[in-house]
Amino acid sequence: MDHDKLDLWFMREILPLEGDLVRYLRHKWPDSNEVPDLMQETYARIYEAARSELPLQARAFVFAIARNLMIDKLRRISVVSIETVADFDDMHVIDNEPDPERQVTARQELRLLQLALDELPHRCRQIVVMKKVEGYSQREIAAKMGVTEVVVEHQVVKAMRLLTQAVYGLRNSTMTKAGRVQLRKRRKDQ
Amino acid sequence: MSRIDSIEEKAARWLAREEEGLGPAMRAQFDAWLAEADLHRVVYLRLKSAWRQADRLAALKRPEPPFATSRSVRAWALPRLPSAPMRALAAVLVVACLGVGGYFGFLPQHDGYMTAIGQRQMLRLSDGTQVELNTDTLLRTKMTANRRTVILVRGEAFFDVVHDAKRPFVVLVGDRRIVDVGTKFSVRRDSDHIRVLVSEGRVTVDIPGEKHPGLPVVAKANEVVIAKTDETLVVPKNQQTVVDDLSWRRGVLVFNQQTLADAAAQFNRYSTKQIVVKGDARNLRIGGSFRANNIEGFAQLVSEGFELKVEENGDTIIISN
Repeated sequence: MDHDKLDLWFMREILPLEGDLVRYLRHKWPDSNEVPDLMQETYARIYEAARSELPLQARAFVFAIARNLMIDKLRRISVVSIETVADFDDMHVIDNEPDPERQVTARQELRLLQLALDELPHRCRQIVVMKKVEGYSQREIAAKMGVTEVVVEHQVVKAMRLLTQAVYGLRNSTMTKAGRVQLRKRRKDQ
Repeated sequence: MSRIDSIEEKAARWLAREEEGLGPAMRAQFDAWLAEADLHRVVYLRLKSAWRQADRLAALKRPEPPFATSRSVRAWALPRLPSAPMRALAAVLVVACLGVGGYFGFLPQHDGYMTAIGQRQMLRLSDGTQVELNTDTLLRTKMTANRRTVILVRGEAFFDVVHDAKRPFVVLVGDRRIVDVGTKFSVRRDSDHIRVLVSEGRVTVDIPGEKHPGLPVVAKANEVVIAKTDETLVVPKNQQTVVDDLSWRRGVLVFNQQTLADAAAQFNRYSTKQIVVKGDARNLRIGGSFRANNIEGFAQLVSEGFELKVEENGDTIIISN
């Protein structure tokens, strides 16, 4: 299968399930700080497995792969607590209904994006507005702000990561603010 | 920083560079990085997908309508008002416009430009924006302190807009509003059929007015927006198609496996003489580039190439098997 087709499938069918996937991982995995990495590894396995054939049931496929990944990882940890293993045995009992929280309308999505934009650090937000709303290139932004392109790129990279967390993380109903950045803060607070 | 954190950072950097345009060497390097691990690719795709959704942020900055309602825009754009009720309505609207005159501070400067059939014209507006008018086109421009508005009444025009975030550049065509976000694009109006082709940068297209609260459509370079009544469609095109579509700016029509009937319809826009293609000849596929103003030459060439019959009858050229 060619990359373009697979990429489109991944973005359309798999990424919108992120809220459910994260909730599932958090529920099953002992250390919630590892969930963001687990999620990305699940994605990589999904992508690899779909290369030969696209699965019919995207949801079931996502959960099955996440489950196998966790089992593989647990096997590699020398001491596995009995409860954790027992927990995985009833893992097929999962909610297969689409989460109503996930059914966000385009309008709500836009509002979420706006909220996320408002929460960006000042300079970062300024650059996103110039780039996305006013349509300037990074070079033009650098010239206008009197900084180097490297600085602009750094801010764009930061914005991309934060907005990505907002776009996917905010659909996750179990956390008001999902995302590694917030998670890290939470860990520090504890 | 975890391993995946650093992958995400790299992926974001590539995405930012890809948006600015990658040279062949960088492109190869990027492709190699993607091919290195599925993890790289999925992290990149996730960022790209979200960042693309953030394109809709452009929709947040919706310009206020230039007049009180969208209807008044349409009335303003009509060269002649057809009926007494319409005239009365226009009078009301003009009053309404004067009412919002404070919005402009003064009545806007209002210029009209027209080309005859077969003519082309290049304009430079007071802000430096270049406008090229294709055959049989009528447009009006209004430049105010905080807005630049062009009304395309009929025909086709290409805009090379000088970007000014404080003074949005807006094209009104039929009931659609096109807002430039720093760009080059063409707009064509064929009665209620509107076609916007973006060759550089980005535009948003929407229907102003409270009746249509739908989100604006964002079109990027090498995309075409096709709008008809309430339907709005964005179609990606390859770069060659875009170049071909804009070849009229050089006075040339380029065809790539179009039917003879479609090609004839294109030529007919540029001439008072009209080609009529009859029978099976309509479905013949043709390719090549032709001078737009040489309709007879085109008819002759086609008839020789395909061994078709050509008859001239006054202003009509009939092509048939």
